[in-house]
Amino acid sequence: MSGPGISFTRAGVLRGARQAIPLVIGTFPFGLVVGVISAAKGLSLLETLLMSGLVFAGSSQLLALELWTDPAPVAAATLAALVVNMRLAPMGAALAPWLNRLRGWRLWGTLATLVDHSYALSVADMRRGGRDAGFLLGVSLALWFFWMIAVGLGHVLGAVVRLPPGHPLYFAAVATFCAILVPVWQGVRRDLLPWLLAAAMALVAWSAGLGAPWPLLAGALSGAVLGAWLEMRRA
Amino acid sequence: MTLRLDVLLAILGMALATYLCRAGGYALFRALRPPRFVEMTLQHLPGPIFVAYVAPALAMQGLKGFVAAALVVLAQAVTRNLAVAIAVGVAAIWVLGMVV
Repeated sequence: MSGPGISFTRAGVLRGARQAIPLVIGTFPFGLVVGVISAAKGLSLLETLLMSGLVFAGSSQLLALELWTDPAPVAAATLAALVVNMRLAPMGAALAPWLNRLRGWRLWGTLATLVDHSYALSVADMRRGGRDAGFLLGVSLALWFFWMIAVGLGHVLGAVVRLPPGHPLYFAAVATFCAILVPVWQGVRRDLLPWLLAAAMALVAWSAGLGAPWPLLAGALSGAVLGAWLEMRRA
Repeated sequence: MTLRLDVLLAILGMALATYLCRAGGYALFRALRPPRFVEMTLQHLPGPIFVAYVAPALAMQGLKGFVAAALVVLAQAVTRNLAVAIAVGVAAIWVLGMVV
């Protein structure tokens, strides 16, 4: 996968953008929620769009807004973003076969747009033999564009479209990740035990009352380590 | 259309922290040449990340969450179309919410 032959083309960016469109069904309601809550916390439309444009990571935005105070909690919001988005750190490393071939803004700019969905689609594309790193940026840019629209719309229409908590449309976000798991699955021997451990650890941490990023980190890391250990033992 | 200084600082702090997560992980691993086990762990990370995200979210929904998730996986495997799979999931949770 690594080595020469990795490209970064406009066609790749466009292909990524096209493949990202279905994901918007999952991210749009989330963006609406972030917009609505942002308005409720007293942020202006400009501040809301600035946060969404620069941070572009829904769960950290939502968490920071949950603990928002007046005046704005600079340290707490920064820390919340750091902890919730820690999960993004290994994603860039996992995309190294593509990213290592990029330089300058293509590398550091693409990294600035990295989100869970663009990572997942790109890893799947890489496994299928995809060699165009523009794909990653394309997915991210399309998601960013619709994220801004959704958050802005949520802020403006906040009072009008307020979906009740637990509305079925919120399930779209979870459904997105369930569906993404299908192309990631590479067989019982490789994935079954690590995925089961990941689910179990996440559920244990969640049942223990641990907040936002911890169930995710506990499950993800334990599952990945078990997968690596099993694979090294087989080799 | 106001932009308060304290809000701006909080936003910039969040943006900086998030960019550090996005680019820092990549830069660190490129500089340090990770050992084979770490590399292997990273290759195994995608599945567990999403499983660990989804499991508590489904548990919160109870039985209907897991049934809907199974239907999403089935729809994705059969159609290979993400939009269809997501729509099936939302429809399933909607209908199941009325029944269960």
